[in-house]
Amino acid sequence: MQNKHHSQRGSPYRSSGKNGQRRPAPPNIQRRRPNSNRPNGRQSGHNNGHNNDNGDLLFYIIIGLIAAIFISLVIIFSIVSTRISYRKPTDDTSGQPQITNGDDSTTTSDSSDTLPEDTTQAPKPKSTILQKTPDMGEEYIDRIVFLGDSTTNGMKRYQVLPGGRDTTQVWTPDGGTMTINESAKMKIVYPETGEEIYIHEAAARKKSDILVITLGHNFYSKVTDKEKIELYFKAEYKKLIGSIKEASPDTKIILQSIFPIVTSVYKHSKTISNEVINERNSWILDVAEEMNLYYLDTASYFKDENGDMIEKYTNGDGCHFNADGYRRELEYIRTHALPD
Amino acid sequence: MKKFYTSLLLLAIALMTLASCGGKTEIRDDVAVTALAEEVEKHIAGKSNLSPADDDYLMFGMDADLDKLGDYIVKTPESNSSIDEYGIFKAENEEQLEYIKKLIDDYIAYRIEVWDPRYLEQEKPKVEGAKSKVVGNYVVYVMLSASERDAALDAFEKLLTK
Repeated sequence: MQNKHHSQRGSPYRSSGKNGQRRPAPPNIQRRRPNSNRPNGRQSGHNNGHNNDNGDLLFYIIIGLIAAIFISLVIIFSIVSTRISYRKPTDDTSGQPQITNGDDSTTTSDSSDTLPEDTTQAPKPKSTILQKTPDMGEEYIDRIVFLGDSTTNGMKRYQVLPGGRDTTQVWTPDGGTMTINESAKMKIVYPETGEEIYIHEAAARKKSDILVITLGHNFYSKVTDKEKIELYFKAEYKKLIGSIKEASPDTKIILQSIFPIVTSVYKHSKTISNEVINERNSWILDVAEEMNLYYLDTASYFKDENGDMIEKYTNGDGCHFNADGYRRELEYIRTHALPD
Repeated sequence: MKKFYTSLLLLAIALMTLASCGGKTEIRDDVAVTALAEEVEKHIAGKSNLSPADDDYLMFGMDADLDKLGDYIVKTPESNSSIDEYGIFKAENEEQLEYIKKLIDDYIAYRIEVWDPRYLEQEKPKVEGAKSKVVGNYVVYVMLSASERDAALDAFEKLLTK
């Protein structure tokens, strides 16, 4: 029998041969594995369909596992991608916190809440609080520059000083208000030129005869310990005064009390009340005593029987003066003049 | 076809993984706070009005323990016509980082709480919109206009990320 070339299609095995026996593949014919993956999905033999389903399932399982691994890697990398690196802690060379006062002395504040030592200054005036004098007239007011916040800025608005709105006697920042916090580094609008310059620069330029400072309404301190608040308030005031004294040593500085408010009207601020104002005025008086300065107790001239601001002197907001209020302030200043 | 599309999907996932791993963001630890301040200030129009706050401000105004602040710079305004303010801190360790984060959050909340309505109403949005950001062991807070705030925070982050 001659060998015959069998077609390569189909399995070399037949499900059944003669007498049901498999016939071995003839030589020189390529064997094809069952269920070969041909693009057209052509099956050979009835077992290929079932085998293909299992193959697909296995394929999808493998694909799913690989996808899960990749997604896990993404998650892991995103978690570890934010690194925080540390330096070795340096030796703690810091000492107790120090507050620099305006007169080059320092006051130590530590966490044990001990009060700082009072710094005793040069011989104090007989009475720090300016006493009643005869009315010294407008000539006395002409010698004064007024430094302050919005309660001072209104002097321009109500034109109660020579020059009216353009008076050169009012020093306030561009926004018309000022905090005692960091006041030593603050700028004011220098009236003569309209420039914003540091307060100490203005003092050096002007060298005014008298400087009345009215600050303290605007002040914030996140510490809650009252002694620390007082320490900070006073320290800020002292730094400001120190910078002015250094720039213009001959200027006579007077610290004026901050003014009361009409409690029933002024309810906006959570931090200011007449009780707080009275407390701060006592601190301002302490600063005046410690730094050998004079103190104007103008607030007393504006209090009613309840300690509130006399409402008719305000502009309606319960805090700021109207024209009558400023005139009353100037009257008090004229009649409680420096003991020249 | 199903297998083709599935393979395609897997390839896409693989590529995305490689892209995310390859572009991994590293955070710098070698930037001085002054350099960061310089970068932040490029986005503050009123930067000439800012100067470093003294330590009393941090101790009392912010109720901060200076020993726990690491390296820092806080700038406050020189004229109260603006309340622009920012601070940048570089913590030395995790404990400091947590302390600074809480300090800043408490400080911003405090400033909002005690805001005096008599005081520069137009500046109030800066306080209310104040934000902080942590990148690595650096913390920044800004009290600026909304546009300056966002630009400053972005600049801060960009300088610290590779």
